Amino acid sequence: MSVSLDHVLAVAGRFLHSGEPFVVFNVYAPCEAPRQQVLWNVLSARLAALTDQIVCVCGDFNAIRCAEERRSVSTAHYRAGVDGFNSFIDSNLLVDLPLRGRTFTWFRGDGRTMSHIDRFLLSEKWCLTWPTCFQLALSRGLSDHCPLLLAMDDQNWGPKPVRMLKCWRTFLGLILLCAILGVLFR
Amino acid sequence: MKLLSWNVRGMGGVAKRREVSQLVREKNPLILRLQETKLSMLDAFVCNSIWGMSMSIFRIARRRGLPEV
Repeated sequence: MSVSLDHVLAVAGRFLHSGEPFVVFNVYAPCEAPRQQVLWNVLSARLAALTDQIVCVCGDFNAIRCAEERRSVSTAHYRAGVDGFNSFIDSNLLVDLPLRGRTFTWFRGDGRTMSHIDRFLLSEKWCLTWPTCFQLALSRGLSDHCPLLLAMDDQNWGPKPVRMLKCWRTFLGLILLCAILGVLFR
Repeated sequence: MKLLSWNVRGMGGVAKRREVSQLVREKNPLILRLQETKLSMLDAFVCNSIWGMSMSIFRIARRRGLPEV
């Protein structure tokens, strides 16, 4: 089931494996702060009816949460939408996971203006269902925005730790093998 | 399980479309969400060309000619 609102496409579904319902909101927010506020209000009304559900609000919000999320030659009017966006996130108890991969998600052609305006916002239930989920910014390609990836059930815990048994020291070849591997993987 | 979201800034060109389909092939997301596709028409044919094989569901929101998938 899907609902199309101004600047938002909401799709509701059910996970096949668990049968749990979920709702995803695809957002493409306007640039001007007053119009953004209208959108936050519309979204808040929808989210209020979805408490304790698996909800994800994502897309291009055209808004930042703090000064560090934007880099520009001018510092004008960046604060306009900050408070409204923050209070939208906080009042709806949405979780904004740290962005991995890169600091900014949008870049202007001049190479000096960039900001973090794309993100995944998750409900508490979403985070409890997938406690290890994370959002990752991928390489930009032809667009001026980076694609964002939200990965769940990730079993990749990083490089495997090295294990060694004390008795291995008694093998004469071990020192030689370590030396060779050390050279190969330097 | 993965979800992808991307403001593609126009998807009329072959190169951009190829890039999206390549990303889908590479990451194999459960849900793909695009913003600013700027396509006047988005049908099953276009969606399948992006998704590679037959896409199960697609939904489009149209706002002043700027559809989202």
